Amino acid sequence: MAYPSPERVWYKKSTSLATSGVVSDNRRLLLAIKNGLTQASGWVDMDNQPVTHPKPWTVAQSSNAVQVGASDYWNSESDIVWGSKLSWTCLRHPSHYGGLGELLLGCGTSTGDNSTSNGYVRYASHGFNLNGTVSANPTQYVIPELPGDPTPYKSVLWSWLNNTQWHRYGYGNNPFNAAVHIWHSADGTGTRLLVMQNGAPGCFMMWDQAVDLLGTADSHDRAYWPDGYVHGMWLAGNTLDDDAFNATSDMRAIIRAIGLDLGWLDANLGCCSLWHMDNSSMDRIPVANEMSGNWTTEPMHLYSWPGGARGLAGRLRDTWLVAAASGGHGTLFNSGALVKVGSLLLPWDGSTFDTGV
Amino acid sequence: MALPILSKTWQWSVNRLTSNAYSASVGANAPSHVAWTIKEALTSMPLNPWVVAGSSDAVTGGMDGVDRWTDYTKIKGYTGAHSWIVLTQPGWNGGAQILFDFALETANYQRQAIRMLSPGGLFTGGSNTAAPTAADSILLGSGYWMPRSATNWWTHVWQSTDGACTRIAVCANNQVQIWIMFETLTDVEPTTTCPILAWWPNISDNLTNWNADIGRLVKAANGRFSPDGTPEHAASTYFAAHGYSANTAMEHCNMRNSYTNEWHMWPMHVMCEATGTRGWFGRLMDIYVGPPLSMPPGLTMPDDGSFKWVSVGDLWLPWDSVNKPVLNSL
Repeated sequence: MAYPSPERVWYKKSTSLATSGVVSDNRRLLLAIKNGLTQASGWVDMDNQPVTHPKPWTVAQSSNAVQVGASDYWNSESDIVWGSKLSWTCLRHPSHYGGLGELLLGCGTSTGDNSTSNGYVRYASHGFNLNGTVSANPTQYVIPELPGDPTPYKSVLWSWLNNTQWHRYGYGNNPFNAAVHIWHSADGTGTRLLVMQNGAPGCFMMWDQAVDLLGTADSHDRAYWPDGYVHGMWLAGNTLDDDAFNATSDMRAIIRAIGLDLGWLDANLGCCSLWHMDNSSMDRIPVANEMSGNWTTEPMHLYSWPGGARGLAGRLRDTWLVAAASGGHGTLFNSGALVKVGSLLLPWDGSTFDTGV
Repeated sequence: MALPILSKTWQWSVNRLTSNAYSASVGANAPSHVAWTIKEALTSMPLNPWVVAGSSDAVTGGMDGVDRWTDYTKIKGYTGAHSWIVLTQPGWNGGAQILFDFALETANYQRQAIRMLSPGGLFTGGSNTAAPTAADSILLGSGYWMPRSATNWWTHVWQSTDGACTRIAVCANNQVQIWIMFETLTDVEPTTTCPILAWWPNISDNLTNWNADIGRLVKAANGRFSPDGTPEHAASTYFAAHGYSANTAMEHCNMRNSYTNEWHMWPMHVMCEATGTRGWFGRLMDIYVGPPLSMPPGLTMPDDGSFKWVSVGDLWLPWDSVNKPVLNSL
């Protein structure tokens, strides 16, 4: 099987963070994520050549526990504060939901070394209200249901974590070296955020626009996915093996169900790979093809299960699954054009992958 | 939902009846008639038909290109003098052959047979008492190929016009009783030099069999395949299709797709687990697996009576767009 090629142009940014104590590690990690997503500079293309990203994320609003408002108040480590007065930031996606989708990263309410890996990770499809304070995160913006409008577009808040640990290390006596890797397609539709900590995945987040969408608004169909926007977050040290994607439904999307008059559904989606017998084929055959020596790579199809929207819904681009046994984190495939993390294959620029050790 | 675009052009020989009259005589003649029907359908396809390389009618036999199966009475199963036939398909790996050998029965029942593949078309020898042999032969099955019942049998044959793919279904009692595939893979693993697969497993000697279901297609290694055409690398194969959360997607979504209100159609990939030949090797063309046991036999898509696709067991196959499929005992 020939190795796959990305369908979109991808840029990536990697930031190495050497440990200097658990509190500082957590502060610099949050800063690196914010800066990585929102700064147009510092990117390279898949030939490892510097580029300016045309569609970086933007800061919609933030708090540094002292100031709050529609500005970026996260400028230095000291702006990242945990406690009753706390820091948070809302990062606006450049494409999803009309450019309104926002990721909220916030510090937890407890202070002290043992709590600085705690925080809030939320995604609001249509952004957050400008009502955050230095003591509280902003609330989700809810699209008002207009009288007489039978099909108001739903706005959804996905609260992935609330004041709990969101990555593998960074609590108590667990400082960490880290590498923050961000992939962002040039068209802005796809973002992957990977935090490697001490050689292992610490958390992984994905925002994307699926393709090959099934269903239309036609009355013959029973459900459709009007935009293909999908979000997934695997936090607090998921190993990112194929079970993380196949055996769970951790992707989120807003689906429109027609026939049962269910309106907009906040749908979970699982990732389909090839299966035979009662397991994934990559688990059943955890070796390279014994005739050719090639590892099998599989595209990720998306499959939803809520009543009224059951079935294959679409396909993810530019992320593939491969057997976990094909190599450790950072193994390069296809002359460095792909990198493996867990059971994921992602586009890469050929450089040595920093595993955050 | 747009129906899949076909990779091949197809020709059919469908709705061929072996009536209850053949079956009623102690079940003896129905297998002979079905075997003869299959041979007739294969060798009479308008484009690139299968060719008789040799045969035996239990009286005389040899690899001389003579078709001695001139009617169903020439097909006799015994351990001594017995019938066999070797069919060549020039469009299948450049002339792969199938042996259909009735050497197993001790009485004239013909329900058991040996089925073998020669990827290189190397069968030679043979007489009225012994089937030909081939250096590259791969055993597909040895035992019951047809169940016992006094009923009507309906035979359907699909063949791509280039001969690369052939499928056979024999239906009765509103189920698929016999399912046979001779396939050429696409998207083939690069080092594969013999990209063909044959699927003709044994079945049980009764009519409760459902022989084109995911239990036999996806969850059992019933296909036979050798990536380089050698017996050394001959391996049993599974057909892999989409799945998630500890099961196949077909079983998770045993219904129409909500998004399209159509039945799911999952592509079928070829996987081997035999040590030395482990891995993914390619994909089948113009055949899809659907929700198990949910689709009425003979159901066609789209829902406009155009008969473009037909459900056969848990499979979706292109249909001739003309004839209403008969898969039951009517």
